[in-house]
Amino acid sequence: MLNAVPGFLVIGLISLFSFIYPPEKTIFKTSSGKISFLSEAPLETISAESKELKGIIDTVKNTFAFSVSIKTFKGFNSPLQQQHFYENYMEVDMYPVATFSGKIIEIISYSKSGVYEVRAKGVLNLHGVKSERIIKSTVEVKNGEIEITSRFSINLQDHNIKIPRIVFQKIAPDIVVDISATLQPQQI
Amino acid sequence: MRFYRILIFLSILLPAGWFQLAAQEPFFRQVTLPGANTGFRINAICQDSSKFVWLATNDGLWKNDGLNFSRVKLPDAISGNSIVSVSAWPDGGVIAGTANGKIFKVVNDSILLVPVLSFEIDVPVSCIYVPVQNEIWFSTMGRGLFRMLGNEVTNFTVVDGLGDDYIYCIASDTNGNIWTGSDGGLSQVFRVNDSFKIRNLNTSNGLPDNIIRQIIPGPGNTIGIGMEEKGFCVYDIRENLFLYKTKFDNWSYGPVTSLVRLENEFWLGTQKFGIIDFEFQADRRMRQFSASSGFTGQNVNALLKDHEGNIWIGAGNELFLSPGEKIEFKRQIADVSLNTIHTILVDRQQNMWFSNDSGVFCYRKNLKDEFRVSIPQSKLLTEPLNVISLYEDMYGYIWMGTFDYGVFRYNPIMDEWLNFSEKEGLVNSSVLSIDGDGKELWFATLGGVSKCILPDSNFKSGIDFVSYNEENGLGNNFIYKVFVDSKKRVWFGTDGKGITSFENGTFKNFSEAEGLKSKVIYSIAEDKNGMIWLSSSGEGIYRFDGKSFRNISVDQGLSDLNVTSLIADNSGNIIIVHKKGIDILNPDNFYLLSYGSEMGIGIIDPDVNVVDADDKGNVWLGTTDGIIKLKLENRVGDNKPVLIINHVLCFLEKVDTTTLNVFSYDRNHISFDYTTIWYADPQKISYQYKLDGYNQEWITTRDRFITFPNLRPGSYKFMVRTSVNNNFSNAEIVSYDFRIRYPFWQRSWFIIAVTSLIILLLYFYITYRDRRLKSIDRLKKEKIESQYEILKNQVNPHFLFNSFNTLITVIEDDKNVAIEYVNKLSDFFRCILTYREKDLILISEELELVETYVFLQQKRYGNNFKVLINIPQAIRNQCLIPPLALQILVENSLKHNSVSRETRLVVEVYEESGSYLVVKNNINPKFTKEPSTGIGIQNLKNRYQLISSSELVIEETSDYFIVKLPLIKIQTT
Repeated sequence: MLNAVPGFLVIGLISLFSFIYPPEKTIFKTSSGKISFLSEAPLETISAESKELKGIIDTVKNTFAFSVSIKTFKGFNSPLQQQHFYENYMEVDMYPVATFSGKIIEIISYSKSGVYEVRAKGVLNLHGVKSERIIKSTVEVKNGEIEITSRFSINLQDHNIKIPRIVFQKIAPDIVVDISATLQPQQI
Repeated sequence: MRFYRILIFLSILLPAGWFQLAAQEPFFRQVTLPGANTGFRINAICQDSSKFVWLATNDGLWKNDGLNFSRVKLPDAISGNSIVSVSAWPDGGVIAGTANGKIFKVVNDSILLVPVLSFEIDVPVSCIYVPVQNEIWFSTMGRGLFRMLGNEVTNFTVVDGLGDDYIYCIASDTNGNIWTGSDGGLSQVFRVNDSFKIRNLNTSNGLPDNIIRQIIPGPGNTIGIGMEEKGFCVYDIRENLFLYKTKFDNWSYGPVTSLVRLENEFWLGTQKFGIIDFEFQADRRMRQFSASSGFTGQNVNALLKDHEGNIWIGAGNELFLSPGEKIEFKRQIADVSLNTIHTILVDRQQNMWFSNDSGVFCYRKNLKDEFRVSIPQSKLLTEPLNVISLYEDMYGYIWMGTFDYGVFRYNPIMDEWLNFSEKEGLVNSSVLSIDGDGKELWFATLGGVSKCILPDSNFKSGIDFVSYNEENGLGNNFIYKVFVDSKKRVWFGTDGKGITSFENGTFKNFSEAEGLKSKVIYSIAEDKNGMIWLSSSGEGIYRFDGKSFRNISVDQGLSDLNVTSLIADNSGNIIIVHKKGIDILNPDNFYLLSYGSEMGIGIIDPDVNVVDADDKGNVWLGTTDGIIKLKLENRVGDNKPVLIINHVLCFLEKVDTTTLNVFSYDRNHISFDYTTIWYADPQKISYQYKLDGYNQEWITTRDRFITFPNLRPGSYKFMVRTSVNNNFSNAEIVSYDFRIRYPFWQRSWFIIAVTSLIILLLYFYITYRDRRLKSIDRLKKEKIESQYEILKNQVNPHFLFNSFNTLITVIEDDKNVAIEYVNKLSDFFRCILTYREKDLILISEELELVETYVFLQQKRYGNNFKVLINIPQAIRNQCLIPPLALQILVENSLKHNSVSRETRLVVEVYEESGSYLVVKNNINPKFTKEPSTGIGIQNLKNRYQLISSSELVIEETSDYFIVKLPLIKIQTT
């Protein structure tokens, strides 16, 4: 129940956005984006994926907000690994959600189909630590939908994610995150 | 391995091959920051109007005092915060901004928070710009741009049309418009009438990147722009064009977070790759400074060019200083060793020719505009050319003077070689120096000099040499240097015979007779005023003004007497090269500055005349420590060390010198704290000071603090001057006039006042004494007069006659009464005799006398004369009266009034209100008046004036005559 609260907040945010800008299709959103991470360390490769990435883009303000519940990450090598990930590293009880919200630096014509390389500048809130990030993404406008793909890395130390010494060999100091999401126009 | 084989193969295939090169680099030295640990980070650097350099760091604000950096003590409200921006405050000091939105000023050692009224700023103040006093612009990372005019605050945000509220930087253009760089591109804020308008430039206007990390004013009306991803570009405001964009198409050095502009270059500070240098003028080349330059920083957050032209670099927790473009070193070109350069030439195409022990090299542009090194080798010789002199003629051919093989003329475009030696008419085959003017070339050799006139550009042979030697008037035959001056005179520096000139076909030799002590002349140069400068072996340098020679030596600040090369640069300096380094001379005022280790110059030990100046104002030196490029923007001495008296202290407390320069006599312990700002080499600074009024001689010191304890009262002038080479003759003097006051008792007003007071007192004393003496005299006189009067009265025949008559009648009546009468009479006279000497007697005594007198008179007048005395006992015994005063009054009443049964005389004597003794009698004037001397009462009155503060009062009515005598109380001493 605890982890549902922030998720609810994001949904609230989304509905707020949709409430403020009702007439045009200026709000695009999804709640089923894909996000996966990969940690390549000498001894072990860890990867997991969530298909419940929630996202919203305001095409007028050129702003965005993404959020994912940590517990939706699945596909670990073993149940023990998953438990370590949830409890020891991500401390999911305290920090159930990771968010990234901010603005898009590049100017995109959302009404035309096309592929854009953009930078998303915002605050990445992961494991309770906020860091200002510029993340490169590919935005494709196609059939009135927005498709976002992005690959970026997260330094675990930056987000105060502590890994026990013994396990350190298993987890890379930087993990690579992949995102792909299709956002649909929001109709009121 | 295969790759190396190809390389070897290529190098064999192309003996004059191309090599990848290493660029020349400026020099960097690290500046120590005591206490700056690994977490330390320099965020910004600025220089205030007094030329002090300040650092904004995550560990507070730091200030340089001319020698060292130290943390500025900040109040609790600010300390602990990261300082992210710092700018000069217009009239001294700085204004700085913190990571949590606070702004404060540091002016005159005091720290003042600058409140931003009615705004809550909780984000970093990224940049502050203060165009004029009181007008502060500052940018924030998330709250937009602010302008404060006094207390009035204006906030510009996206709502007002700003590109983005996350702003990194502010700069102003030549028209005074404000420019900001943000996440939303470039914004221009300009004034229209009374309001501000905003114009945005972003990728849709041609800006390469929307995230603008840093902007600075560029040349002309341009702005240099450092970006997050796309490197750098320059925006031409008037033409509305972004320049040099394509140069940065493949930028891979990450965000450009800091910028500084040099004369021909921008230095771009990057987050991970140190400094990238972009030359925007000629080559548009880009280079990254390597660790061999002394620069080891990576995260370059802050750059500053100071007033001396030094570049300050804040890189993480390290601070570096570089002379910038002033001096650059080239120690390696590909695999060509540059440690023994014999001669150097930079031609008009900017190709650099030089030789070392392995031959001659040309470092030049290829077709792709890239510099490569090539090895020209004449097929006329099998061994490498031993080139010791180089010259480019008017056609662009390169002349190479060799040792033993004469001179080669090389056509660099056609790779054609011609050789001229003794066979072809050259006077000697070892050519030490070549110079010329137009088609006329001169060759200085070990056997005299040769001259030739060049035919047209395509000549292949057939040059006629005309040669001269000792017999023609040349000093001697061993010539180090030939130099053609602007007046087309030719000068020859000889080995042993001084200097020889050639003008209008005749040689003239200058040696000791003309004041030229040195016989060995290595090098010759001409300054902008047409003066000829000579360098000597062992005697320093000489200036020849056409008539006489003037020597510049160690006393004038020269570092070494054995000067191997001299050359004039475009800025008007004379560059002096010797074993220990380089001295720069301002030929007009003889100001000398030496470049040594602070510029990265070690022992360079150069060959003779290995210098050249190119068309762009660069001077190139070949040394045993590589090739050095010098480019001085100004003449030395135009930018002298700045000397400042920081504080004047009295008993070690700071004195506000703007208001105070007079000290009291006991505030006489005066100290001075002064400093010189000479960032180029602070260690070289020395001082001379003198206190006029205390000592006469200049005292040389390296101390920056001097105390004068126990100064005597007087006027003083503290003077201090500074020098970088212990030559103080041209040094400007900074002074402070002050006065120590004499103690008040030594000051004229006090002396005058005291003297006049003494005179006044003396005067008063004298007059008082005078008056007292006079009054004593008078008293004496009055007393004598009174005595005389009384005696006269008492021996008045009438009195005696009357008394005797009375006595006769009494004797007949009553013998006893007669005896009493005579007793009284005798009492009366005895009393008179007793009292007359006294000034005062008791009233009771006087009354006794009066009663005796009345007794005597009553025997005569009977009841027709009555004296009624009504005086309390207390007054009788406690009050005094001049002797016989009452008696005289009573006698007077008898004297002036008729006494009969019809006209009784009643005299009342009584006390009135404690202050007067009243004598009152009724008036019955006599028909025949007794002769009166009038002395009686008047005399009494005078005596009262002398002995009493109150006066004797006389009242006369129709019925009564009243005399009031003041009561004189016995003074209890």
